[in-house]
Amino acid sequence: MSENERMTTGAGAAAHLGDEVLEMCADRALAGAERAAAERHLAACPACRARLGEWQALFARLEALPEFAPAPGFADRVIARLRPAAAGAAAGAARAARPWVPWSLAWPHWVRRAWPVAAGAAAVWGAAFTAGLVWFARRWALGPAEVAGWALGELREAFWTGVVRVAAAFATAGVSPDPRWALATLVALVALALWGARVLYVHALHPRGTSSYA
Amino acid sequence: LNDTSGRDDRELVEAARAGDDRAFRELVRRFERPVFSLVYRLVRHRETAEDLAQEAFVKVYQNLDRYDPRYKVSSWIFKIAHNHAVDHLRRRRLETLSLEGSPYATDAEDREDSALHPAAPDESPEDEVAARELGGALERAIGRLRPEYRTAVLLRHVEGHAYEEIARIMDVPVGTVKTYLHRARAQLKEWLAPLREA
Repeated sequence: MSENERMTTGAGAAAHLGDEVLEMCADRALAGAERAAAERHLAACPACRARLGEWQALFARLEALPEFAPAPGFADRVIARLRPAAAGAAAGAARAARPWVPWSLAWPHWVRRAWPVAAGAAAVWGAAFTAGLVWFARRWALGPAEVAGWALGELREAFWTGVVRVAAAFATAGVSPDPRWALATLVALVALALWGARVLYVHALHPRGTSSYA
Repeated sequence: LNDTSGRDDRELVEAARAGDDRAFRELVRRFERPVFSLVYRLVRHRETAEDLAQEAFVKVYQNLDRYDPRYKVSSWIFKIAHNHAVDHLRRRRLETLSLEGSPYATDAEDREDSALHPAAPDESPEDEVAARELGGALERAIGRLRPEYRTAVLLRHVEGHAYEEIARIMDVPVGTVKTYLHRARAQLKEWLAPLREA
């Protein structure tokens, strides 16, 4: 299409501006001689001005369309989506930046992971053992000194002797005639068992969970 | 330096590239509405649009190193969002709302692309929100446009981008953008004419 054909439709001097030109005019996309020619024609032609008005009305409606907002907290949700990737990248960087140490001096990963599991298992075991001691002492009407002596004698070679001593002390208190000691023993045993169970849960069942033990 | 709101878009990209999370958050805050609006009008489903817009910003984050500072940040972000939404449309073929397909369709595939997929009678609340927001005559007419025409019109008239920027965002020549715009506007004018005359 030639410039003149694009500019005008119809025949002779009374020809009107083409639809495409009017559209470009409304979009302020004409420049130079083309724009000057269109403006001259429009100044003298009410019909083309009316058609231009139609385009301008359409563009005004389009430009008045609102921007929609996403639900509140959009940026937070984007950032949350970044975290797994960012955390993975940070972990990779930390591994890369870790200084080299001889294998015999470095704590292997499984050791660092295993100690809280072992501590938790010991706590649960200790609680169960102490409960058994209490039952044993009541069943045979043994005194605190006898139970403690037996328990300590049995376990003195054990690695976790310290934990068991505490548990045994609680157990001997459990057979004391003072009910306050019995209550304190019960509370301490439940707390110990819960703590051990939590450590086991976090480290053995959900080793990737975020935890202060990690 | 910590005040992100005073920095221009390129500075924010540079800071985000250097690991400044607050700068990236500010970038998201600046562009969340225009990006969401474009994607929403393309896919015409709020939840999907929000998901796609979030994924687009994640892509922006992952490609911070590839930003070319010769171009506007807005063009770069819109390009990522547009490509992501178009990929989704190609997969889902959810484009438009015309029963018989666009009269400008050149083949069967185009006609199918622009054909109406009527909503089920038991519309979800999500559909109702979209119907309320996009149910006006002009929004429905925009919804009938082919996706590339729709993008061109929205970028030009809602976001106010120059032809060259639209060409960069859509990855087509400027001449193609002009063709898209001309056809889109002609269709809109034709479809809206009966309402104007009524």
